[in-house]
Amino acid sequence: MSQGSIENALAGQMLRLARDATLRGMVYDRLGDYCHQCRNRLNSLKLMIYLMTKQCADPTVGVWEEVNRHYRDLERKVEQIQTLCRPMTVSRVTLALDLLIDDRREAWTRTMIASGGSLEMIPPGSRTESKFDVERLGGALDALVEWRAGEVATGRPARLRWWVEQGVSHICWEEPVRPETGVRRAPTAGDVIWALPLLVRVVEAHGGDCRVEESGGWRLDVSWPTPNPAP
Amino acid sequence: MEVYTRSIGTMTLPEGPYVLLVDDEDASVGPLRDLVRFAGFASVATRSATDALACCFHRPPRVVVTDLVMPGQDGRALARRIRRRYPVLPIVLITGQNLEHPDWTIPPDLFEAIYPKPLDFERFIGTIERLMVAPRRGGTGQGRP
Repeated sequence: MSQGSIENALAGQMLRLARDATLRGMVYDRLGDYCHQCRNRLNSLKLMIYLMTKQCADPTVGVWEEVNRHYRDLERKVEQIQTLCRPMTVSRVTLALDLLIDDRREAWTRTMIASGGSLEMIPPGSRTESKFDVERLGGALDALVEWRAGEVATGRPARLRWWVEQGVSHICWEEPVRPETGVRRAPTAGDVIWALPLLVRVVEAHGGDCRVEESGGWRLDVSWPTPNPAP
Repeated sequence: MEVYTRSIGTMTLPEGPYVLLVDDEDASVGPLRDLVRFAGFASVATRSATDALACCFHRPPRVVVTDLVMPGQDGRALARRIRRRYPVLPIVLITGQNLEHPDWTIPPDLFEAIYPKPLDFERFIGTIERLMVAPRRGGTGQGRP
């Protein structure tokens, strides 16, 4: 079995976990204590790094920045596991989707360019006032972009569109051309496994849905209900 | 002042105001003690709610920082017992537990602040500094991050 097949199979299982509340509950029961222990250990590690950084002279600052970056990656992985398995409460705030996207425009563009792709963002022509959990949805979209940055065909831009229509918010990610089979430039296997399940988990917690189409290119449609604001 | 506890024997309480740390894990409470010392405050580290209560009843701390999940009495039970005797003593909860789970519901106003692990140390120290200088006078629950 190739590495790609294993990753796809794992990603499929994670997706099942994201969509099946009963299965999620069983995994949560078994992983709950483990994640709790992980957080205690992370806390000790973070604290030691924090104290060392505070007490260090300037020449070593670069080293500790690197250590901190690795630490944050580790913390993010634990957060991803927990986000997928644990009960999730979304804190919806009323906000324009444009603001969510604008806030991340630079980072997403940078991520795509760094892996040989590019990102075309196509703003809507109308108001995009929506209601969503900024932190959870933003984090899940960040993971999606990191994942797709390693998958998109070289030199062909991915497109991102977003809009709000008839009480439903939409985000659409399109890659018009599929990359050659087996070609992945970014070795970020974790993102392949986690990105889509995380997004599905967050969007379903908003009462919404994610749909993937893979004919020709690759397309993801995300939508969730957004009651019209009072007149 | 010395306090005798069954689990760890005799402990010496600092002369002045101190932070009482309660966490059953050595790996957690040790670095936490270093952090509080780094912030410039005296502290006493205990591994259980029983030991923490022994310290409180001999000479109450200025602030209590407790973990949630501990063998025997958890952080909520400890806070309730402290509240009965010292209604205005600020108690800060730190936890790696998922508080969205129904088993770990936190009653409102029981804690002055709640910090998930891994902690945001700058904010945590800010809270400790504020409480060491001006302990709370009412059960407002303010300070929750």
